[in-house]
Parts: sequence; C-alpha cells; structure tokens
Amino acid sequence: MTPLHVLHVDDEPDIREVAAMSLELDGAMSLTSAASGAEALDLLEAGCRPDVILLDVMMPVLDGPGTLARLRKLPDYEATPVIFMTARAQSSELDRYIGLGAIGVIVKPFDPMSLAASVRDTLAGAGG
Amino acid sequence: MNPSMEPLRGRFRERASRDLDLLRRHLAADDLGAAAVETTVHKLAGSAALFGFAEIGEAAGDIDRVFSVGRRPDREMLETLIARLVAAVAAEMERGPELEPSGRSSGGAETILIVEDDDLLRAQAERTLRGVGYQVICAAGGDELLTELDALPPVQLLFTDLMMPGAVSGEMLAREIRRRRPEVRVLFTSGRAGPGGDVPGGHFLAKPYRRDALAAMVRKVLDQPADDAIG
Repeated sequence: MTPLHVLHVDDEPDIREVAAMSLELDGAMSLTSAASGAEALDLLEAGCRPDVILLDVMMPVLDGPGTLARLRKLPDYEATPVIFMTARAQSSELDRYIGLGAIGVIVKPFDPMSLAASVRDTLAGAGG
Repeated sequence: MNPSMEPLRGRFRERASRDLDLLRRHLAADDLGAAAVETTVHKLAGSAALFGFAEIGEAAGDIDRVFSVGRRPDREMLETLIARLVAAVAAEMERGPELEPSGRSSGGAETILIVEDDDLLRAQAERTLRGVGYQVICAAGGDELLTELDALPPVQLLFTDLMMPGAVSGEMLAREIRRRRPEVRVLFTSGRAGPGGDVPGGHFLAKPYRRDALAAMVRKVLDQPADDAIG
C-alpha cells in the first residue's frame, strides 16, 4: 500500500519534530515538513504532491488561511485536502476554517499518540 | 516520558523563559494588547501541553480564548490572566529541568510504590522517578492497597503520604508492609509534621519538595540497609 503523503506546515521546529515522530511511527505515512507558508508553496510548486496538507493557522508573514488561499490557485492543488491545526477550538473558529475550504481541524496541542489516526479520521470524514 | 522528548522539553523551557521576559515587559508597560503578546500566548497554548507543561498550556489557553473573541479584551481580566500565565511559567523555571535519565547518581532501576491521594503530586512523583529510571507503582490511598498487599509485585521502597483520606494512614500502611516484607525501605512525606516518634528510623521528605530532592532522597534511602529504614 502506498503510504499517505502528508505535508506538515508549522513555523515551530519542535512541533514539526513531534509531528514527524508521531506520523512516522504510524508506518503508513510519509512526511514532508515546511517551516512556513511560503516554503510549503515552494514545495508544492516544485511538485511535492501530498495527499493531505496539515496547516498551522497562526504563522508569521503568511498564515494558514493565506497559504490555503494561495495554494488553491496552484494548478493540481485545487482539491488537495487541507487540515488546519490550531489552539483555537471554539465552534465559531472551527466553522470559519471549514468555510475557508479546510476539510477539518486538529486542535493543538495534539496528542502525539493519535495524530496519525486524527489525520485519517478527518480524511475519512471528508470522504477522502 | 518518552526519552526522545527530553531535548524538546529542554528547548521548550528555553523558549518559555524568553516568553516570560516578553510577557513581563508588556505587563510592566501596560501594553497587553500588542500583537507579540497574542502570538506568544497562542503559541504557548498550542504547544506547552505537548511537551508536558500542562499548567502553562492551560493558563495560555484561557488567554488565547479571550483574544480569539476578536474584540478588545477587558484590560483588568487580561492583566489577571497574563499574571497567572507569568506565574505558571515562572514556577516551572523555578522548579528547574526534569532530571535526565542519564542522571543515575540519583536514579536507579528499583521498583517504587508511591501512595499519595493528591492526583497531581502523585503524577509528578511518578514522572520524576520514572524519569531517572525507576519502575513505579502508584496508589491513591492505603485502604484498598492494604487489602491487596499479597498481590503487590515486589517493591524496594514505599514512598507514602502520611495523611490520607480513609482508615489507613501512611504509617499504618508502612508498618503492615514492613511486617510482611521487611526488606522494603520506607520514605514518608507530608505537608505537616513528620512521622510520630513510634516509627523510629522512618525517613521523611517534607512537602513541597523539589523533584531532584525526591530523586536524591529515594536513592539515599534505597542505599541504606532496610533495617534502618523504619523501626
């Protein structure tokens, strides 16, 4: 089975490291990390082709929603599933993120032991 | 704690220390609406618990929720909440880093039985002792434990609170365990007085104790002959 390719975008290196440990433990996921929205867009333009993108909401310069808006304009990425990651889990915030085109939200701090399962569940919930 | 998390915890502490300076500066300047404060708080809310600093994460999460409402937060409430976050971070800095598993001078591989009714203290003691290599068994009180003593795996040291809810005090528990298993060392703890005079030789660690003091005391008691551990 081809591993699920995840692009994780977060400006905090230690969070990227924990997410990498969590997702790689899964055994059926491959991971690419990016430290900013701009780096993520560069990777996508260079043909990164993830199956799903985990996108931190609050990042300097280009935040998560801004990154999502731009990647939707890239050829081949109009429909790539995006999951936002944020510490703000109020329903109004969640509705806003879904309205922006994300398929779901994973609340930070996430549980490292179940991050991979959360990604899969969110994808399954979106019919992915 | 997963050993691979230890460097991340160390880095989080360094970052939290810088965040503490920033928050204190903004508190002193009465400038809590600044974007830097909101970003700092938001990042702490999303990461502190991930690295095992739940108290900081909770305090930061409360403020982040206030910011997320979107309108200018009430100044007095914000000041109170930020002061609470500052206190939580400062307390963590004060406690010092967790003991590394490599710090074997105050660690070991023996099995420790922790009996403590305070959930938070029990969890902290467990984390501290596991962090330096010990096997740990936990119980929230003496009553149930006493009825199941025969099923208890071998332990080398009992670390027990003296005053706990229920009929069985720490001293009663220690006497019964020692009667059945004379090899078990005993270390008492309490926020009040130490063990009574009728438990000669019982070692005592006063609350509140530092994590390194707990690890050092456990090692010290384990290194003494069992006969000296309690009368």
